[in-house]
Parts: sequence; C-alpha cells; structure tokens
Amino acid sequence: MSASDLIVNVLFYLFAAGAVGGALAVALSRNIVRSAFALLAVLASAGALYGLMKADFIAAAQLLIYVGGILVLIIFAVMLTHRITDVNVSNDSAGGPGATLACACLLLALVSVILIHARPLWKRDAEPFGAQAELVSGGGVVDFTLRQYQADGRTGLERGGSTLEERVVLVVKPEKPHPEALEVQVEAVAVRLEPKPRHETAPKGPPETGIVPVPDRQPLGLSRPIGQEGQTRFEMEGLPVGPVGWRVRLVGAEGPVTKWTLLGLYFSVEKGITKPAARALMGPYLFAFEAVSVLLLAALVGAAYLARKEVRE
Amino acid sequence: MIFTEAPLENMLVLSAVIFCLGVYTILTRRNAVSILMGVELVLNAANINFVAFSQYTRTGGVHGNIFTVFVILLAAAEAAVALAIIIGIYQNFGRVDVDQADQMRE
Repeated sequence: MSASDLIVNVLFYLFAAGAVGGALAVALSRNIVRSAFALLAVLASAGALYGLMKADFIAAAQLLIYVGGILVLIIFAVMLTHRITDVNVSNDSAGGPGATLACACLLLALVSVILIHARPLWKRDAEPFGAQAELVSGGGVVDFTLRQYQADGRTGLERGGSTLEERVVLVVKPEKPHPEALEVQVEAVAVRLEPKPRHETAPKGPPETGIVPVPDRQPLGLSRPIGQEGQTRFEMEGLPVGPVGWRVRLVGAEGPVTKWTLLGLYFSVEKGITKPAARALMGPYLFAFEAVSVLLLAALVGAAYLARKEVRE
Repeated sequence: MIFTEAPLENMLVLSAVIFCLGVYTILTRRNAVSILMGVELVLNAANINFVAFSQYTRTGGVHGNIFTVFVILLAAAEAAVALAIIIGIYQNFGRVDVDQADQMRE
C-alpha cells in the first residue's frame, strides 16, 4: 500500500468513526444539548468525507449550509423550547425492543444488499476502443485496441469521461504483432471537441463529436517497449486541464513503423467538481434550480408566518 | 474492508449505519427537536450515498453531486419550517413532545 493510500485510509476511518460516533450520540444521548453538538460531529465528518471523495463543492456547501445554517437553527430550537434547568430530562426516549430490532434488521438488510451488489458497480473494466494507424510504407493499417483507466489503474474511464486527477493509465494493444515494431509511443494531446456536420438522413441522437488537436499546446509523450502479450501500459502524468486525446505510433529499429494517428478516444481532466457542477446547474438542472429558489422563498415566508406572535385584540 | 480497495462499499456501509441510527432516533424520540435531528441524519446518509455513487461509478458523472446540493437546500428549508412549527407547538402546549401535541387547534 502506498503512502498516499495509507493516509486516505487513515483519514477515512477517522472521519467514519467521527460520523458513526456522533450519530450514536444523537440516537442515544439523554441530554438534548449533547445530541445537538454530536450532530455537529456527524455533519462536519460528512463534510470531510465529501472532501475525501474529491467532491470539493459539496464539502464546502455541507459546511456552509448544514454546519453553519441548519445546525444553528436546531440549536436555536433546543434553546428556545427548553428551560435551561430541565435540560437533563428533556430527551426521554420511547424506544422498546421493537425499534431496536427493526433498525438492526434494516441495517442487516442494507449491508447485505450493499456487499452483494456494490462491487460490480464500482470495479468495472474499461471498455475496449478500436482504432487504426496507417503504416509508413506499404499503405496498410495496424489495428489497435485501447483501454483507458482512472489514476488508480483499475477503474475504467469511458470515452469522453472525466477524471479529477492529472494522471490517466492507457493500455495499448496492437491486434496482430507487427514484425518490425519494438516500441509504442503515445502522446497525450490537448484537443478541442467540435460537433461533426450531420447529414439529413443521419439517425437522430446526440451529435457526434470530432476531436481536433489544439495547435499551440505541447503534447506529453511517453514511449515504452511492447510489453507482454503485446500489451503496453502507459501511466501519463501532469495532464493539462480540459479535453485530452491520444496519439499513438509504433516504432521499430529503423525509425517509425506507423504514422502518428490521432485516435477517437478522449477524456477530460477536471480540477474539482465545481466547474462541471456549475455547468450542470445552469444547463439541464436550470428549472430545478429556479424551482428550489421559489421553494426557499415559500419556506421563508411560511416560517415567518408560523413563528410570529399572535396579536390578540 | 480497506477503504482504497473498495471505496464504494465502505461509503455505502457507513451511510447505511448513519441511516439506521437516524431511523432509530425518529422512532424512539418523543422530543420534536430530536426527531428533526434524526431526519437530518437520514438526509446526510442519503447525501453520502449520492456523492459516493457519483464519484465511484463509471457512469456517475456530476448528477449525484447536483442532487446532493438540492437535498442540502431542501434540508435548509425543512429545518426553517420545522423550527417555526416547533416554536408554535411550544407556545401552545408548553412543551414539544410529539405524543402530547395531538390537536391541530388550541
């Protein structure tokens, strides 16, 4: 286990312990003020876990709204509805063995479903992507199969998918071993996505995108000897932010065997989720966003109406 | 279970534990403010699930994160209205036990 993995593991178990311990205190404490402050531990730990999952925007929103807003409201509610002297008896519980049993069964069912069904969702191999490169002499082509993975080297990264790290793993495999080829060279190129012109007879669906290299950006190159079973694995680091495509060629002892070929496989590198989240909120989720703003206004008016003092004449 | 070996399962099991504790709080408490805290626990468990599926599945994209933003906003609205209702109950009944607040008028 590498050092960064170890740190991530330790942080996860630390925050998980904070969240579960806080939730236990919320559920079991006899003192409602203690419950409210244990809720603070749960909410802050959940925010830290969002950070650990690289959802930076959600972590910030969690701290601002949950810890800074909702928790303060709840503590207000506690303070406004209890005399400070009777705080110790204010949180009695009506639970019998029934509630405990029901929750234990629920937990058992949830955990067993998770352990059975979650793994195939996460550990999915990359889809193979086929591409062709033209030979330098003779006019033939070489077929490639490519797979691209996230930085951990195990999780697949689909065509056009996005990664939050500046590191991507590419596995290149020529379909047939070429007699002269000794090395594979790969370049990661910053590209621009352009919708292809469509024919009128084309089937309806999302527009096809063509990828065009950005001319004045320096590509990142790596070259490796062809590995076992024809597979060559590239770990590309320090990728530029934005859409990135791949260029591949085979090299033999006497110079290149195939021409540089820009493949149709690409992905995009994102710095955190704030930018994609903002694009989604202003795009497909615009109506929901506006509806939520109206709902917040309605909640504000309703809360002010409910909490006002009755003026009796 | 090591977290970096199986991040999705770890997050889901953690959120299942928080969810069950939230349900337990809702089921067993008499105090309305405590029940509100249980609801917050349940919502947070759902949020952790949304973000975990969004970040650790291949087809997740950003949609789970957007849902989490909406859930946080709705929780804010819910907490504001619930606080107003709890204070209304307190003014009418003198306490906030949900067992005793069984009439909608004075």
